Amino acid sequence: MQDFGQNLKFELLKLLRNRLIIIVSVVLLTANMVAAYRLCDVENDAKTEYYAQGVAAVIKDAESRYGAEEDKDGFTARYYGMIVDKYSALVTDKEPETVTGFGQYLSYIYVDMFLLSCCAFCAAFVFRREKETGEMQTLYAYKYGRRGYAAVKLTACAITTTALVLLFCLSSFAGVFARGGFVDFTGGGARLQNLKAFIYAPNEISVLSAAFVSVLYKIPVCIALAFFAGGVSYLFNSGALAAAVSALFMYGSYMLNNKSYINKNAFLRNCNLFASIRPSNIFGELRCIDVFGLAIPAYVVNIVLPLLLIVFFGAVFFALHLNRASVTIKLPKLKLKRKRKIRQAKPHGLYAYEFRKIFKSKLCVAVIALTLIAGAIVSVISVRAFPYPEQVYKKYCERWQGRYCYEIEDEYNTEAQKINDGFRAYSAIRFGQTVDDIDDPMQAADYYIANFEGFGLFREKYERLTELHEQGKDTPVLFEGGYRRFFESGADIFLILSAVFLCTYLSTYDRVNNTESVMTTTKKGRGKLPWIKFAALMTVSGALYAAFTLITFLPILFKFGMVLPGANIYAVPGFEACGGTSLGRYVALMFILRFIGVVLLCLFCCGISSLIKNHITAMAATAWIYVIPMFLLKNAENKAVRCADPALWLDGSGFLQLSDTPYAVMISVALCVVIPVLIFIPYVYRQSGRVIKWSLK
Amino acid sequence: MELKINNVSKSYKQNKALSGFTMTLTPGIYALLGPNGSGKSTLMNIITENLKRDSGEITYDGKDILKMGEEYLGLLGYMPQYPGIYPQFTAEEYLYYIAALKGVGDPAEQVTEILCAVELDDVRSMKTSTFSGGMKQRLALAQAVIGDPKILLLDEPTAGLDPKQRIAVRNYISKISLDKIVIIATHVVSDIEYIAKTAIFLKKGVIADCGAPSELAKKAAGGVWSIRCGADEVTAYQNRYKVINIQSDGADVNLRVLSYTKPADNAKPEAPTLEDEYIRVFVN
Repeated sequence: MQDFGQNLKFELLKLLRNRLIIIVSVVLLTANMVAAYRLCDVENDAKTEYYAQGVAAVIKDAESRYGAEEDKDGFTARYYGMIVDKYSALVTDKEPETVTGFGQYLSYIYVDMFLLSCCAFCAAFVFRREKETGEMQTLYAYKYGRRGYAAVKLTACAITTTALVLLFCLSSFAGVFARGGFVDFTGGGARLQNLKAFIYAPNEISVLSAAFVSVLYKIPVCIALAFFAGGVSYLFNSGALAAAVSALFMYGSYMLNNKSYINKNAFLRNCNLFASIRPSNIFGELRCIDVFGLAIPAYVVNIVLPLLLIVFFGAVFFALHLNRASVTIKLPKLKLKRKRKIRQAKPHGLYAYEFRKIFKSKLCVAVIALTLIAGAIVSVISVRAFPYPEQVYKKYCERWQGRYCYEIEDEYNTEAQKINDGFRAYSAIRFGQTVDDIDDPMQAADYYIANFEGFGLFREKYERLTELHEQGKDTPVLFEGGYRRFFESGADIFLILSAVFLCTYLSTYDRVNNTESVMTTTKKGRGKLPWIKFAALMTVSGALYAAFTLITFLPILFKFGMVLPGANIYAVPGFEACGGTSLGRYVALMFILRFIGVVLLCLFCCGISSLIKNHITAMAATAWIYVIPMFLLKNAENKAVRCADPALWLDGSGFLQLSDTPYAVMISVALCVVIPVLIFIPYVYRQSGRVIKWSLK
Repeated sequence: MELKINNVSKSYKQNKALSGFTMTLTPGIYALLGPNGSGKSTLMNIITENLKRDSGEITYDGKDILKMGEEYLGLLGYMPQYPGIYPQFTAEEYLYYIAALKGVGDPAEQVTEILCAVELDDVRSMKTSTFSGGMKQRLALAQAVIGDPKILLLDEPTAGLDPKQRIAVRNYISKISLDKIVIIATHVVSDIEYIAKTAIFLKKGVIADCGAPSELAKKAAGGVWSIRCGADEVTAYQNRYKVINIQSDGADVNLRVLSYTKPADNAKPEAPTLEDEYIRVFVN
C-alpha cells in the first residue's frame, strides 16, 4: 500500500511538472471563465405565475394517461403513479423567491465542452506517456510495472479528473460571480422550481444544492470519459487516431443526447454520458426508464451508467496493459500506378522557404483545414438553425418588405387584433370557458399558437421602426436574419485561433528547432528574415481570411440573401449605434475592418513570440494578453477605457459602433502607433542578435 | 586575414564564463579544449554575435565586428553544439535555404559538392526527419560550410559520428581550412590532435595552456608511465597517481599513469600524447 501511495505520488508529479498540461489546463480554465462571464445574462429568474397550473397540468396529464395507455409489464402504471405522487407532494402556492446567478450557473453548458476536452487531454498524457518516451519496456521489467502500474494509472487519472471537474466548476462560478451573479447569496436557499428551466423539477431541492449535486454528477462522467480517452490513446500507436476516436465517442454521445431531446426517447435521452452531465436532464421533469417493467428514475440511471462505464473501461485498460496489447491501425496506402519521381530541389527565395515551413508542416495544414471546416460547420449550423418563430417572423417581414411603418399601420393593427383574439380563445379553451364574440375559437386558438411568438418578434421590430420614424430616421421593413447571422455568427473565433497558431508557429519555429543561432549568424538572418516572415504570414493569414470569410458568408447569402442592401443599418436590432450607414456598405466595412483585425492580431503574436522561447508559451501569452483586457474592460462604462480592449480593435462591429464618436479616432490613432511598434519588436531583437529565451519554469 | 580577440569577458550573474580572453587568429584550425562549463560555447557565441560580451573587443582585419554588421555575418559559418534541422525539408532544400540566408548567388554546384563531401549525396532528396543522428550532424556541418565562409566555427562537429565518418569529417575540415579561420570546440582530443594548428586549453573561462598540439604534448614528456600490476593493486595506484587508462589482461592489468616520479620499479616511460597533457592540465 505504501508503494502504491509512492507510485501514485510520482504519477501525479509527472502531470503537475508538465508545462504543456499546466498551460492547456490554465488556458481552458480561463476560456471557460471568460465564456461563463460573457454568456451569463444575470436575471431574477422568478417563479412564473403559471407554476401551479403547470404542475396541475402535469398531474392531470399523467392521470389521464394512467388508464389510457396499454400497460404490458406495469411500467406505465408505475411511471404515471410516480409522477402523480411526486408532483402532488410539491408545494405550488409559494411566493416567488429571488435566485441570482445560480440559474445562470446551472444553464451554462459550455463548461462541459472545456472540461471534457481538458480531461481527455490529461488522460491521454497519463496513459500514453510511457509509450511515447519508450519507458514501457523498462516498466514491464519491474515488480510494480504490471498490475500495480495499471492501478496507479487509473487512480491518478481519476484523481486528476476529479480535480479538473472541481476547478472547472469553480471557474464557471467565478465567471458568473464576476458578472454580478452572486450579489445576493440568500438566493442559494431558494427552491429550484423558481428557475424557469427547472419549473417541472419533481424534487424539492434548493438551487445551491442543485449546483453542488450537478458538480458531483459530473465527476463519474468525466472519469468514464477520461478512462475511455486514456484507454484509446494507450491502445492505438497513433496519437492522432486516438484523439479522433475519443472525439468521435464524445460527439456521438452528445448527438445521441441532442437527438433524443428532439424525439423524446427517454431511454436514449438518459442512457448516454452527456445526459449525466446536464443539470437540465438530471433535475428537469421526471422521466423514468423501463427496465423489465420497473420505472427507474432518470437521475438514478444518470449516476449508475457512468459508474458502470468506469468499471468497464478500467477493466479494459487493465486487460490491455497486462496483455501488452497495442493495436496498430495503419491506414491503407493507395497504390498509385505511377511512382512519384523524386524531384530535385531548386533554389528559391527566402519568402518561398518561409511558406514551405508552414505548408510542409502537417500540423499547420491540419489547423488550416480544420479552421475552414469549423467555419463551414458553424455557418451551416447557423443557417440551419431556423426556429419556427423566426420563420413566422420572416413571413411577416416579407409580407411588408420595403414598406415603412406608417404605410403598414392598418394591416399591422388588424394582425395584432387577430393574435389577440386567438389568445383569448386559447385561454378560454384551456380553462374550460367560452367566448361568444369569436366565430371559430378553435381555429383562432390554433392561429394564435402558430403565430404569436413570431408576431412578438415582429412587434418589437415594428415598435422600433416607429420610434425611428419619430426621430426622422425612416427605415423600411426587411428580414435581417441573413445580416444578423453574418454579424453574430461567432465563427471568427476559429479564424483568430488559427491565425494565432500560425503566427506563433512561424515566429518561434526557428527557436523551437534550435536553428535560431544558425539563422542569426547568416547575412540575411537578422535584417531581412523578420520582414520576410511577416510577408509570408500576412499572405497566409490574408488568404485564410479570404477563404474563411467566403465559406462562412456564402451559405448565409444563399439561404437568406442580403435583402435591401441599401437600407439603413438601423433596421438591424443591436446595430443602431453604427452611424446609420447602409447595410451593404456596413458589410463591406466589416470585411475590411476584420481583415485589419486579423493583421493586427498577427503582428501582436509575432511581437510576443519574438520574446518567448516556445510556441505554446507564446500562444498562451497571446491568449492571456488578448483575453484579460477583454474580460476586464467588457462592461466598462467609460468608452475611452473600453478602447484599450484589443478585442474591440479586432471586432469590426465594435469599432463601427463607435464610428461616429471620437473614440473611433482614438482607436485609429492607437492602431497607428501600436502596429509599427509591434512590427519593430521582432526586428529590433533580431538585429541586436540577442535571442531572449524566456520560458515558464 | 586576422581575427583579433582582445580581453573579452562574459559573466552569467556571479558566474564568470569567460575572463579576459585574448588571442589573434589567422587562417588554420584552432581547437578549443576544456571540460563542460569552461567557456568554449560562450566564446563561440560571442564570436558569432549571438551573445553580447560584457567587455573587450573583437576585430576582423582591424575593423570592429559590431560595426561591420552584415559584412561580418557574411564571413561566418557556424555549427552549434545541438544543431536543429527543419524536419520537413529535404537535405538539399535545407542547404538551399541556408544558402539563401547567406546570400549565396548560385548555390546548386556548391550544394552538390558539399553533400558529396559529407557523404549525403545519395539521400539529398530525403526529408531530414528520416535522418539518423550522424546524418543530421553531417548536414549541420554542411550548412556551416556552404557559402565558403572565411571564419568557420564548429561546436562539437564529430559528436555522434562513427569512426569512419569521424575521420572523413576530420579530413574534410582539414582540407577546407587552408584559407579559413576554423575554430573547433570539442572534448575529443584525438579529433584535433593531428589537424589543429593551435590547441587552446580553456579552464573556467581562462586560457590554461595554448600552443601547437605536438608542443603541448611534449609538456607531459617524462610524466607518462606504463605499469603492469595485479588487479588488487589498481586501487592503490589510483589513490597515489593520476591513472589515465586501465586495461585488463587476464589476471594482470596494464596501467597508464601520469607522474613526474617513477611510480613503480617495473614502470616504463611512454611517449606523451595531447590527451595526457589535457589530463595533466585539467584533472587537478
